[in-house]
Amino acid sequence: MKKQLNLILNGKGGVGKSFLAVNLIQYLKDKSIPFVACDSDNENSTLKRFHPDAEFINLAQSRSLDNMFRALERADLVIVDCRAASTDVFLRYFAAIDIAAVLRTLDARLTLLMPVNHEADSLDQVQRMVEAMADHARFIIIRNQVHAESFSLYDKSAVRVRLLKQLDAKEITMPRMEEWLVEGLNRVNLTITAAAKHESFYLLDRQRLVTWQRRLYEQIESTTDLLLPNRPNAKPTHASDAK
Amino acid sequence: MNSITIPDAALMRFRDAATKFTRDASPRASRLLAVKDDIAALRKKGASFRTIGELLTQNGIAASDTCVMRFCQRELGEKPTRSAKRKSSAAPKPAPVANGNATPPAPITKAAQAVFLDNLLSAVPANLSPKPSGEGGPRIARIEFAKPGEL
Repeated sequence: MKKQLNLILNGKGGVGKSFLAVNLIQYLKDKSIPFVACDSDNENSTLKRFHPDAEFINLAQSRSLDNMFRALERADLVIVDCRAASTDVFLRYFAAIDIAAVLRTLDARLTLLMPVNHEADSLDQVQRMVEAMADHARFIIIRNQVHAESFSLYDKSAVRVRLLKQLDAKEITMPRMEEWLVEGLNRVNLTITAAAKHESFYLLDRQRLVTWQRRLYEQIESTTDLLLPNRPNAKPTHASDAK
Repeated sequence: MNSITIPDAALMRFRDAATKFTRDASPRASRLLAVKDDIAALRKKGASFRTIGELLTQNGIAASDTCVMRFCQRELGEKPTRSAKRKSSAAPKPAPVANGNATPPAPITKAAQAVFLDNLLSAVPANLSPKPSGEGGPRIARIEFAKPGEL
């Protein structure tokens, strides 16, 4: 039995970390997969806004990061939405605790979910994390189409070659959502699953949301071997609901 | 016009000091000959006179930016620039002693020179050598591309 720690991480802001986190957490809830979610963004706690049951990790206190591993003692699956500009914080922390030894002790695996966009900075972060964590983590790259559907920098990068050919990483695509749908969700602080049943959304917009969600869920399900612990359906409800 | 007379005692002290005065150390600029090649390397990397002066001073080799500038012009053949005419007050200058003479420059020790040399490579301006970890300075993305046919 392997526990699973997933970090949604990219030091570049605005690449879609929290948007992915909100929808990945909703996926786990919709599929009744037990988990603990953590939000580490003290300035924009987007994940907690949409999923108030998410716990908070204060990156200003290095021992607060221990809560990721404490959560792994309570649940087999922990998801952490890492705030922007936190790469150094996590790398220093992993070095201080010897992440490989901790994962071994907890019989856990670490997966880094890294959204990228068309900008060099988001790709630079992937290079950096691969360089530092290749021996300790698995990787899922999320092509976020919110700004552009072209990823030519990433597609031509050496790090992509390494990810796919040496590290067995996976790539998924997060499709672009129409602006008015994003605004609508943010106006009422509803996840797509909730909005799809909510009267404030017109029928066709609810259909658009459901279609978008279905496409993302298909992408997520293509990576469950890297995302979920070995027994993803061991419990009927997610760990946060059990509190 | 009133005449100002110099007290005899003061005149005597000055003449005594003038008689005893000798240049017991080489001028500061010539002392920099010991690190001429290193200063030349720093200049090629874009380090300013002030940066080099501060680096020298931090490592026990007192040298102002003006001192470094003149050294570079004389020994490295650098041409004077407009900015060289400006008076700079940023670099630390040696404090004068009580009788008004400048503090004689301390000889460069081998230890000071070694520390200076060690610092040369790491003290290049940040915009020329971004730190790879991104800690404490800017981090500029540099993408490494795959070779054709690798994917």
